[in-house]
Amino acid sequence: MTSLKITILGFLIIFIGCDSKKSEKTQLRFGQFMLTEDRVTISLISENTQKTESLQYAELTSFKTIEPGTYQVEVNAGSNTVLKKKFSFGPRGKFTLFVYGKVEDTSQLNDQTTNEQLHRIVSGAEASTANGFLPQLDVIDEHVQGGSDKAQLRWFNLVPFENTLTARASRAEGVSLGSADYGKPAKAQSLNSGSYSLSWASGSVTRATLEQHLKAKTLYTFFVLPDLNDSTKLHILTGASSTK
Amino acid sequence: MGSNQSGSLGVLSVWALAAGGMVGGGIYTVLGVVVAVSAQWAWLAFLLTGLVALPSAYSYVFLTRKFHKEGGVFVFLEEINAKSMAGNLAWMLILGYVLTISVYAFAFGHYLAFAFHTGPWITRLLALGIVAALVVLNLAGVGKLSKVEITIVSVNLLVLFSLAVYGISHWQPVQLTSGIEPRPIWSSLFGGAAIFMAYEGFQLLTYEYGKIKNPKKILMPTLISAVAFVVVLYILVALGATMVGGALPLIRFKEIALSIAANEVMGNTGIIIMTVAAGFATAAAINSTLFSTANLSKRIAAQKELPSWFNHTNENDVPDRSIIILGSLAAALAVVGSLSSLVEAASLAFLCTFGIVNWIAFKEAESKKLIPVFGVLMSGIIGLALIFRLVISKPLALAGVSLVVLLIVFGRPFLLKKTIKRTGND
Repeated sequence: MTSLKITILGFLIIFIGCDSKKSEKTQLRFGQFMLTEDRVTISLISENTQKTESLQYAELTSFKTIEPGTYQVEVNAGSNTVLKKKFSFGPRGKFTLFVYGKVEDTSQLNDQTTNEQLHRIVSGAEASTANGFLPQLDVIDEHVQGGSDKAQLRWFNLVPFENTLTARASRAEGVSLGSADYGKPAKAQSLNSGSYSLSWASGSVTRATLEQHLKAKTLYTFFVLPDLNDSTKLHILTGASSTK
Repeated sequence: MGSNQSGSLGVLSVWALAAGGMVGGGIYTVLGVVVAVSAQWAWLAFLLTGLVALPSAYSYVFLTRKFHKEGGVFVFLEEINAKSMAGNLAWMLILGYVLTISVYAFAFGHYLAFAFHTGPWITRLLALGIVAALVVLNLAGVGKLSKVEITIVSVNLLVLFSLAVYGISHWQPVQLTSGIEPRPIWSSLFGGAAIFMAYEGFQLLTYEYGKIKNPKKILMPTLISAVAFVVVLYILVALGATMVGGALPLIRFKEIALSIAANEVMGNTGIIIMTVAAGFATAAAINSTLFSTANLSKRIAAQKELPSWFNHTNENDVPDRSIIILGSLAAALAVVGSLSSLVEAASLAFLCTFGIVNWIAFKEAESKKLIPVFGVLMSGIIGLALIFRLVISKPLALAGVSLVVLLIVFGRPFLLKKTIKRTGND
């Protein structure tokens, strides 16, 4: 019994004694992928501060440092407030906040289809529907996990009306990068570092390609977007996040 | 069988096996799922489902003591002359156990694969490999290793408790919703419904009734205190681990949520400690569930509610065919299934079973009827919440489960009639 008590005490001391030396700040970057020619402003509002980013279509900022806390996130397209949500960003967090969907003149604040509402009720943060291509806001985690010689990849299908896209990465041999419906990410994968040819297809038709050098210990997120002026063309935007 | 003074399992062993049966695979697999649904109310989801587990534990012990028999709900239904329902439920319960084993194997594969930075194929191979290894061990007659299991449980509880204490001592409530929207309090109902299987393990002890020393005296307080302890532990881990890891990373890596939290505390050392704990805990949980389910199948087959083929034993007196079939099914599900689907299907099977056990206890009890009534009510509410969640988010999976239930109810009598006739002809 005494040895058990000593073991328990030892474990607790080791765990509690482990104090994180990491920075307590939070890193956040913003992406504007809503189909609109207007500039879009994304504001983070808390009791003490307000931070606003003004972005054009298909723009992804670099990581910015913010104070950890809970914020009101307000998204304006032109003079129209389309989204207003509450989000928290914890210490040591690293995130990308992005908006997507179609902005119409008739767009209302936090417009949701019934299907989206029901999914939110039962699935919470994992709810992911097309929401009738209405404006949506998503936050993704950017921490790099996994082996030291590997790069990690994931990609999002943000092309309205494009039900399913598939992707492949090719170097010596081809690797499937999975498929994704609109608004959803494909399953993340780890690949050895090096140069790859990446391609995205709708059915058997290749819609977009990209040559990309992948570095180890880096998480790559590819956002697949339609061209603003020609929706038949796809545009690939790359976001990289390396070990904190 | 009732007042067995010479049984090998004393208070401490019974307590450790009950707590280990729940924690073994439970918290390692469900934390990310419940945080996604309930966010800052994940702890309340564990409390709500604990309020199903507690009266159910009472009802299980009450009925086991009353009938002086091991065998769980199958025996309870037989004793009240609901033979057809006993058969139906036994089949569903076996399905629930198969799903549970697959969840544990899934978790085993993911925790190990994450620690060794391997790809998805190795993850699946590990899940397959652990089930295959434990099938072979069981066939060799090693069976349930209570002493080994108790050691694993002790280390396991220690690791989880330390992580919870560390997280709570660094109190940062913003982490409970970090990267996600805060959720309303009622979301705890849906979160709890999705992960109810985290509490199912305690009832495997009712299959060991004959091995418990003085069960009439010790089983009730020991089992109830073990369930109450696990409810508190889950609440502490839900708070502590999320405060360390942050909500969104735990959701993103829900298959290995506790390794992500441990990594935040101690880096690679944390991952190693958590992987060892999860590996042994899930392996012990697979072993214990496989062993108990195979013996249950044998008992059910002996009562002619499963084809007599399952009643076969090998030279080590092990129900070999049951073990091979159950292990193969579980391994296949672990390889092809997704975490939430497996967890939710298993949760539905156990909510249904616990509701029925509480109902039988209500019918059979002469006093303290409010406890099983509360169990029936809570099982019903949480079961309905789970069905609603499945209708919205996984209608195909729900249709699949419903089809299996229909096949059991209507196909089972036909199949049994055919096998009994064939045995008679032989």
